[in-house]
Amino acid sequence: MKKLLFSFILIVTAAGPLFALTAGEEFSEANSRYAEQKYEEAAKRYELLVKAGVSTTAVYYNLGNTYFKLGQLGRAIVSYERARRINPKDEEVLFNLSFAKSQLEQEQPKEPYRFHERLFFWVVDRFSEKECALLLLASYTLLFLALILATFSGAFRKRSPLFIWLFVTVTFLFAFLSGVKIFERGQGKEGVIVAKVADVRYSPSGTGAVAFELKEGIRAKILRTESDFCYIRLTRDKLGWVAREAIEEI
Amino acid sequence: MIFLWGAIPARGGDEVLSVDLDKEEALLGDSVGLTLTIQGNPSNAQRPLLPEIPDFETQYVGTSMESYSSFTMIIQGKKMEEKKSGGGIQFHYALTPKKTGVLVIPQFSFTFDGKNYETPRAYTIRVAETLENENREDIFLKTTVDKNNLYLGESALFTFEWYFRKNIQDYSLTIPWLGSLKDFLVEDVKPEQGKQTVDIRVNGKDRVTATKKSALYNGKRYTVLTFQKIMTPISAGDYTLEGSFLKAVLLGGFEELPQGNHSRFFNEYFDFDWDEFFAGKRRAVPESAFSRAEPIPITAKPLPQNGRPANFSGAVGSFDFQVDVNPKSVQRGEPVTLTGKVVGSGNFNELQFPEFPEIPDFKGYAPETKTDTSIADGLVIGKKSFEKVLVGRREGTFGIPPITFSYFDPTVGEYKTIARGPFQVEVKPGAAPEEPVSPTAVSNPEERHGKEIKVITQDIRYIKTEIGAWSHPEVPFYQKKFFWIFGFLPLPFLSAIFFLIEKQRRRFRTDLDYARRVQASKKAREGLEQCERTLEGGDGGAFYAAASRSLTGFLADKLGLSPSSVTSGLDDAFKERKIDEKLLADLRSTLERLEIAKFSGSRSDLVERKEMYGRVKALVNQLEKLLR
Repeated sequence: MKKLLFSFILIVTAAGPLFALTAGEEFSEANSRYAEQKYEEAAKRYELLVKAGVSTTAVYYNLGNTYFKLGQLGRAIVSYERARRINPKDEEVLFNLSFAKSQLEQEQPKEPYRFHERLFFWVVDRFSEKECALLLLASYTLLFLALILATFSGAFRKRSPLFIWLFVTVTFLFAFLSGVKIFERGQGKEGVIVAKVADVRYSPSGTGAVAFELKEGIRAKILRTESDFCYIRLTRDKLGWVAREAIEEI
Repeated sequence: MIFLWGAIPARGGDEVLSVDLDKEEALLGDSVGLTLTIQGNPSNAQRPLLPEIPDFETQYVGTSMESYSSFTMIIQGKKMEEKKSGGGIQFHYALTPKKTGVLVIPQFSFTFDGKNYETPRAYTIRVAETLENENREDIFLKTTVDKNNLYLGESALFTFEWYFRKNIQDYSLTIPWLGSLKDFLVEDVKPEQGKQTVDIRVNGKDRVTATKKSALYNGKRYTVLTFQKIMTPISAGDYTLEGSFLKAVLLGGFEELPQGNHSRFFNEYFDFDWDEFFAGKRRAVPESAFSRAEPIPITAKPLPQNGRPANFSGAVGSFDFQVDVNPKSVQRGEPVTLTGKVVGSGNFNELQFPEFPEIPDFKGYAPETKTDTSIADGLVIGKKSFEKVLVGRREGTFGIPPITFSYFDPTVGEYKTIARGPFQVEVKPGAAPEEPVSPTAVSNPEERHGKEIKVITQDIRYIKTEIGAWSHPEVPFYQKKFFWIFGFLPLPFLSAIFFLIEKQRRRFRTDLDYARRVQASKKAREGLEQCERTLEGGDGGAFYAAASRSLTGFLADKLGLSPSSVTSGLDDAFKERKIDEKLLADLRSTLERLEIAKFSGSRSDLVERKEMYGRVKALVNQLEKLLR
């Protein structure tokens, strides 16, 4: 059904020689263009897949590679980040993302975190929101199953405190992490600078004074958007307005 | 500097505002400095946002603090003016005119620190494309570049030449693109030693040192100030470097002076002995002159992809590469020095030295690299050298593989690779003990490096060929309410139900009175069903016996008594529960009738048995409600 739907979308939206190709065929075509080093054409085809809703790790990853080859480091990082969101454990995605970041001309500003803050964010970054929700549900279910089993089984009841405390701890941990993830989601979206150089201004206007410059590929939190400008935050003391076309949401 | 002071007291405070413009004439492309000074004791609030000023682009430049001391003037015993000691805050803005003509900065107001301020009046700025006295023959500026069409990493030499034939009061120059040109690396060329030099103020703040010489131009002799900058593009594209310009005050002529009032002014400003020259009878008349150089277009081309060697690391220029091993024959334990150097002209800042291979038969020490650059004839020339000390581990003759260096030569537009080696080194027996060449013998991680897989170049990993499963974009399940409601709410309820069931079961097992009480009604109903079955049979005694058992058993179970002690225990139990005595009497009468009928029941008729069955059933139902 999905393939039929995709074919329909392609017929309706595709420009040029793209006719009713399935997603897999379109993907293979894009890969062929990539192999022939026709990166611009490959990027168009991968973008078409993304527009049609075929948002897989492979599509974003390959699109990231294509932008990297085109020298568009910012867009490459955006695509790799999108691939990582879908599959945070994909080694190839993590490698290329790390490699692309190593090519940045400007160092990513970091919050001056203290040790416990760094530890906290290290733990938070290990899990995606989906993983936190599923692991919370699993530990919560196991906790209640252990309680029910302890109710009926005298033998289990003797050993149950260990399990119950373990599941209570894990449940609270993932409940907390899920809360953090939900809070983070409400705090604005992540974006990456896609312009070669972007002026960050004090006001949402082309004539606003420039606070600092950001080079392509730097990641920032988009706090809000007004007309043609996005209010972004890099660290506690580095905030400002950047032109909307200079930053792309992950 | 024009000081346009307008003091407007702020509402409810001591703060006053002054407005300061650094010039009233400007060129198109030049900027006018606007300073707003708020005196008094303003708090450290956010800088004011200025309204849009038509015909100007406004850019905030910065903030500074200003301090002043008290000043009181007393004239004829009256205090005329007073300023309090304290400080103020200054906000600096750059106003860039968008067009030529007489432009007006209107009177405007703004808010700062919660208070409203208004500038005292409007100001006018005269903006011209050129100023009067432009392109004079006796003073002019020339800018040239040695090449306009460059590859990335290739350097161009930008030369400024300032020709003049009259004495100049102040050497000042505006280079509009300097400081704002992000796509070029700009380096100063130091003047040659031994030449006469002067300092030129650039863009009002920086200084460059220029050589001063005399030269003929169009048959006339000029004083020429020259300085150069080397520009290296770092981003591909077409650029236009706006024309630089100068505005100078120079000696326009002389006028006769009254006796005793000569030359003091000029001696103060000019490094020329006017007294001696004019014998104190005339005064120099200053005049301003202006000159602007032509804009210079530059094209920066990307380096070609075709023919790019794998080990190319960004070197652009003209280089030579040399490698040497010295000495070539040593005793075991003695050092061998491997040296390499890249010499020539080009972008030494970007140049990466080729990696020297690790040689397992030699103990290697950390390499040393050194870069020396200078500028000569408009080129960045230099040397990048590398030195690594090797000590032979064992005897024998060993080979050091060739070492290659690649660079792009912009003069011919192609990549070049220079390979040096291989080299042979002989290690003879020596006093030092022979070291086995095995991983265990190499304690230094750097030495072990030669045994490990070596990464030659780094690149991204290749594309994936499997598209993978996808779902059309929608809100993920873990962000939906149903996930949290149906995933998490049922379990506590289910657990509570199981807990209550188990608690009930346990009480049944341990509390017999409770178990009898709970099961009394069920047993009574079973007894009544047996009564019903015997109701129409011929044996009336069996019916009454069953009815008596049911009622007595029900009461015994409900009241926690034995069946034999039901009759004696009824009074206390009913009193305790405050049950109607009429019901007690009715119950007693029924129990007595049943006892009698058990033995004489065979004579009773069906109507009588039915009436008794109904009575027992009604009593059980009634007592069920009262004895919960």
